[in-house]
Amino acid sequence: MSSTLIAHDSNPRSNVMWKRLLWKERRELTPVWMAIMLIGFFGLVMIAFQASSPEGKKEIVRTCLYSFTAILSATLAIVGFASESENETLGRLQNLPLHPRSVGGLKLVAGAIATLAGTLLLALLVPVLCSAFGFSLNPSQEPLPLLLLLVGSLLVYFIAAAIAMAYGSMGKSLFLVVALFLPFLFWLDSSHWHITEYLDGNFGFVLLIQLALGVVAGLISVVRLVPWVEGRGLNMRKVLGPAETTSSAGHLASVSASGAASGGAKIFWTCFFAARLLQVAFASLYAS
Amino acid sequence: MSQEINNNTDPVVSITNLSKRYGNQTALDDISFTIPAGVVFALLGENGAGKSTSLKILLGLEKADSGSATVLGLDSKKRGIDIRSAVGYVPEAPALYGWMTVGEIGWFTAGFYGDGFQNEFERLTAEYELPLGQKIGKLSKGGRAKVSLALASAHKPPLLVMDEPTSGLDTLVRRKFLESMVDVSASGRTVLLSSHQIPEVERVADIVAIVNQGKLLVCDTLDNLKQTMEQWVVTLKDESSELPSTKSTIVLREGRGSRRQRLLVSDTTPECLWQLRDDPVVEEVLVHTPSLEEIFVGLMKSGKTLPASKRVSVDSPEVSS
Amino acid sequence: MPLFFDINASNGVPVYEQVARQIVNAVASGGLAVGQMIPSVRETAKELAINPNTVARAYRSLQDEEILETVRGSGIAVAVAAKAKCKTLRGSVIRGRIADVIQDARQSQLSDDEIMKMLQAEMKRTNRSSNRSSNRSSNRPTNRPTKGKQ
Repeated sequence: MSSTLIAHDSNPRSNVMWKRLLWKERRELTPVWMAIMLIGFFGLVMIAFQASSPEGKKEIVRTCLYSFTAILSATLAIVGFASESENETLGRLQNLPLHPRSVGGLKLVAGAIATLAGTLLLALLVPVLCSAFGFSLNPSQEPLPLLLLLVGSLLVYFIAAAIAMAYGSMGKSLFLVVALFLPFLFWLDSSHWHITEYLDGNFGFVLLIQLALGVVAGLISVVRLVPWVEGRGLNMRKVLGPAETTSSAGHLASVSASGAASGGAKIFWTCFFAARLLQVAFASLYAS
Repeated sequence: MSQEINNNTDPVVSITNLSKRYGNQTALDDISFTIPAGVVFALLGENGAGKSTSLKILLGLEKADSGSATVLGLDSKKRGIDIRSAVGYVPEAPALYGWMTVGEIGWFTAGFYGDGFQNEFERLTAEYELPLGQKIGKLSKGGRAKVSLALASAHKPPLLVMDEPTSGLDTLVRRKFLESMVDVSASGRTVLLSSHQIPEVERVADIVAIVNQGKLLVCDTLDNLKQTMEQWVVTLKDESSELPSTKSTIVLREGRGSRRQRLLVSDTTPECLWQLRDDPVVEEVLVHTPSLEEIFVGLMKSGKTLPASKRVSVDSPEVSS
Repeated sequence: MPLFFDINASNGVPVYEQVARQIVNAVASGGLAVGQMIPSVRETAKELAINPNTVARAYRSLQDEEILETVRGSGIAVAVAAKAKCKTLRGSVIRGRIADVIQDARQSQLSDDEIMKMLQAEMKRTNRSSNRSSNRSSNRPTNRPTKGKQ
């Protein structure tokens, strides 16, 4: 992705430009990343240590791992997009001689990399530390869960980024973005509580496909929200309309709808929601 | 790219029939003007008159619905990036990264411009008495404005665009801004500023364009404006008499139907004035040169547009390729 | 070397004329000596925070009147014969203002005798009070100087 972005700017200084932009992203994301990683790391170990049976440990660590990575990716997205649009520094970047596509693209990629790195690190290090405490937890024996974890993180990241972009650019506070995002996070997370059942029942691929649909839908939404085209303002009020901005229940729908007036995202969102419904239906069948 | 930046004879900015709407709100309505090189050009108008919008269109940050704009011979619609790398821009509300230090934001921004940027930025911050190690979040509003000015002018742009540069700043910082503006202009570069601070514009501007509700009311040199316009205070002999007609264009007439009436006139001749003074119903006519504020208020209240003088509205020359 | 001008951009007198007049007054009163260098256009414009083209115009008009002269390689200086000229010019500026006042007075249907009496009375009065502060209200008439279009 970034190679095409660089190719767009014929500026001979583009190398320096990219380095400085990356430096800025790194400086902005690192403190948050470090904080959540530390909390997640020790939190997971603590939880694992307190669980009674080895099976219980395995189960609880796995589910908590999903929650922490979701929190990590959501926070990175919100810090990366909402804080900049809220403080209007995104406008400052737009005033620089570079294409808005470059700004948004670099931001999206930088955040996604930080998300994936954090997820991977947690997924690999927690079992190591757990084994130091005397119980084995090895996700590498199950390639699907790790893949699920990574795709799930990306999904949360893209959707959170879309929400953060939309609400941040309307001048809403970071807290509001977080508050609006929490119900969705829980809803998304709830499926992970049953993840072992699906894995045992070979439903993992269904979940993976479903998450992948969500990732594409979320990605398209963010892409539509970033003012990629030069001369398109960041003002989401124009897109969403003032009525939409106050309804918290419809936040996801409005974001996804506004994120793509085009058909692409709509199709993917529909598929994603249909898959979720199917999953719920299967889960209730499975339980009965 | 630098060879594309045209020489002194071509206009630095050229706007032709520019229009822009936001929903059902008209931001710009068929605006045209050109800015010759080396002048201080002021866009004067109240908040929401369309000043910021036109500046953003020039820089390629917004798209016009119709019409065209070129900056330094570059089409704003297609060459926004090149324009932004050549021009210096001080936005209305400069948003800066609060966590960066003054030196860091200079270094960060230097990555997007030529090699001399960093040195010039450090020279400017020293002149503005900004410590490089200071966090921007801890600076005063005036301090942040100075950082923004330093960032916009450190690559020595041939055109410096400033959107409401002095509004909300205290006297000393305003003075510093005016001084820098003058200094940029004195070094032969062009300044385009939008403002509603009339006394400041009156001090520093060569050419003034007054916009109201998206319309260009007048665009002329300050000298011409003041020479072609006069303010007449006419006292009639008694209240019942009518103000005699005059060949001069009356832009605004206040105190209609009373003995003392105030007129803002343009395109007047001494004969018109004497004709009025000799009229039997007129007791006296006092004449003064209107201040820019009086001209501004007169045009705003009357909503009239004045034809641009020939000196400014030179037929827009061919856009350099 | 600052000039300490007092510029009011909105009082009806063109700014370049204000700059020129103040230089003329400074030369006439000896505040600027013959042969003395004056600050460059850029310095003056920056110091007064006024448009540099305006300063340049003022300098140019004074150069045309041979009050200022270009010193090769170093800038602009007060010309040798400037002092006498400036005194004359200052006189004519003041004459012009008196003419404006007379015109205003005649507009207000005052006879020449009445104007004369007022002038003398005013001179006596300001003489008496010149030890205290000068009469401000008479310095700043409510009606600004006319533009001399008669």
